[in-house]
Amino acid sequence: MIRQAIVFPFREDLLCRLRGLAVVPRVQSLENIGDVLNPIYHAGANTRCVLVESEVPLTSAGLHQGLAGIPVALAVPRLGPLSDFFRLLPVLRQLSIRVFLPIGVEGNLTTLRILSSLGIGTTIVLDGKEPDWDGLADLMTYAFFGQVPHASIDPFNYLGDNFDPGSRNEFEAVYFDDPRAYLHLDPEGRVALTRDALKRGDFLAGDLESIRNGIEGLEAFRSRMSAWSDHFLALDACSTCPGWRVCSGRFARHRQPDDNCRGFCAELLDNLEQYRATRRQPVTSWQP
Amino acid sequence: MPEIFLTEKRDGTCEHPVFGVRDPDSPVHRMSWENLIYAADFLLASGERRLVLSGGEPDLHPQFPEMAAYLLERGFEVSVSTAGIAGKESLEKSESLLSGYPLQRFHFLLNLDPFLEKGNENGRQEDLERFLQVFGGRCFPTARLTDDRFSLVEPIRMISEFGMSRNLSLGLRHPMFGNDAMAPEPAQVRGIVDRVFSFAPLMERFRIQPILACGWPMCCFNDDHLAWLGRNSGRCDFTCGPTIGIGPEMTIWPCSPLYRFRNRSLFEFNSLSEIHRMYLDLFMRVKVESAGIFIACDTCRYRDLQRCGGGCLVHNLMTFQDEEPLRLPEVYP
Repeated sequence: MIRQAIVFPFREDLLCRLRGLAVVPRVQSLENIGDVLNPIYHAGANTRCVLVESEVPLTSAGLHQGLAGIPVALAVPRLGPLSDFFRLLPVLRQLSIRVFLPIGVEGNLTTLRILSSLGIGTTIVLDGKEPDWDGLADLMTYAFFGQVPHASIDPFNYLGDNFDPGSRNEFEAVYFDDPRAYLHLDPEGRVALTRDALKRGDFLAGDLESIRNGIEGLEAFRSRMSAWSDHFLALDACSTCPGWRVCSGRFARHRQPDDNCRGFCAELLDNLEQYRATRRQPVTSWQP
Repeated sequence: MPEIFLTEKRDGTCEHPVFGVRDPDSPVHRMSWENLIYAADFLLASGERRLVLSGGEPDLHPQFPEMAAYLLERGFEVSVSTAGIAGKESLEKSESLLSGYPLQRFHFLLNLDPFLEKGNENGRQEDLERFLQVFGGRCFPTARLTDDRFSLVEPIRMISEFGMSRNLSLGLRHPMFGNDAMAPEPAQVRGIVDRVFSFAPLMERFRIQPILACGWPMCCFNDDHLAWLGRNSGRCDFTCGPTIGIGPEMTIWPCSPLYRFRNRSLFEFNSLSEIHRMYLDLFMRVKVESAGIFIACDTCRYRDLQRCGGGCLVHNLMTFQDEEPLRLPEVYP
């Protein structure tokens, strides 16, 4: 049985293979979103969310009230004019939306903070460009220790909610990139474990039917899940990083690990421990 | 009500060399988004939901309309202290972004000082009229009085013509601690009060309800004045206390005239009440040394009853500057 949600580029001819599965259709824009959701519904698949990979700014992405109730992961390069954003804000607040912004674009760290403080959930996208580490650390501090409630800034708040101090922690799921939670299809229906594997053409199976019994027993899956240990076999900089437990090499995936990312990850770990220590645990009352 | 300075830059209408700005065009002296968000969080966490956007001239901040909209979206009641938004483009952007908010949540404190003397409008009449055509109904007029030669005729005409609030805030122009800005001497205050009341019939005819801003000493008003104010405005507060200003670099100060006095950083505090308590304690210490702007304040029963704060504290502090430093160390900058 396939437990993962299937991330796929929306094509109607793929839908017949997705019956009974949780799916994340990938689309380029929000136009005619009904033409995406209705066929998925009629094909018997369950839409976990719509992943919109837009090349236009958020303010031009065509957000409208009709999207209320549809979980949307909207990846945009930037926000667009702030004045347009404030006109759009009443609509945005009615939507179940999470905005993905690359941190390599100037001004996006500020945008992430503005959006979060206004109650819009955000995710930072590590786009391969060298981030402003100080700015990112400031944003992390805001995410964990902001004085008033704000929407989550992932992966920081995801880690805060799921942090296990006694183990290695991963946050790939926020990018639909954790094979335990998501699998990826190409337009021909071939299955890949991650987005990178999809881009490389490194497929796990030729179609979903051949992994009907699940992927947990497959060598490729096991190998991917233990890929973190390669850092220790190679004895690279990540293997001695004090922040290893919250990064597992993720921040160094698109760049050579150095003191910048090591310092940042160590601070992330400290903040997580402090955040977990100070966060009040929910009071649970007796349940019948 | 706390005051956030968006920029230290000011336009030509402000005669005050406000804060001896170093380089007003430098981004360092403009409020950044990060600092604005921190300040907004800080105030909300302190339970404060009202603030004044000020400066300099706040609309000279390139992102003034967006920042005002942001604060409104965070749930604040925002007052903007301004001499009028100059520039057609800035006005249009402000109108499209801000005119949809209810009056109670967003309004302007419009500085009418240039109109207290005929011919002193600095050529901005056209800009101001354009601003008032759009936002006149959202303006609460204010005037700071420097001497007893002013006239309230033009301000009253403008209030009437542009549908501004009939609550005219009248304040004394106070000296600025740390610079030589022009301000009336304590001995001139009675003359200014008399001049204000010479416009009482006009204010009554036009239903203007004056509100006294902070810093007026009560003894400069006779019983007839107080009775008139009681009948016509009902808001006579002669006390003096910190209002708290927050600068672009997160510097804080107790109130505008004390912009350069005992500055601290907002980052040092956990709540607004903590800051308030600190400055209130400082005010009390100054008043132990010198109760008010007049010698008679030291023995005034209305001061003991806390009906009057003895005028603006900055006068006391300026006096201390001219004498041997024999007082409590806290009262010096």
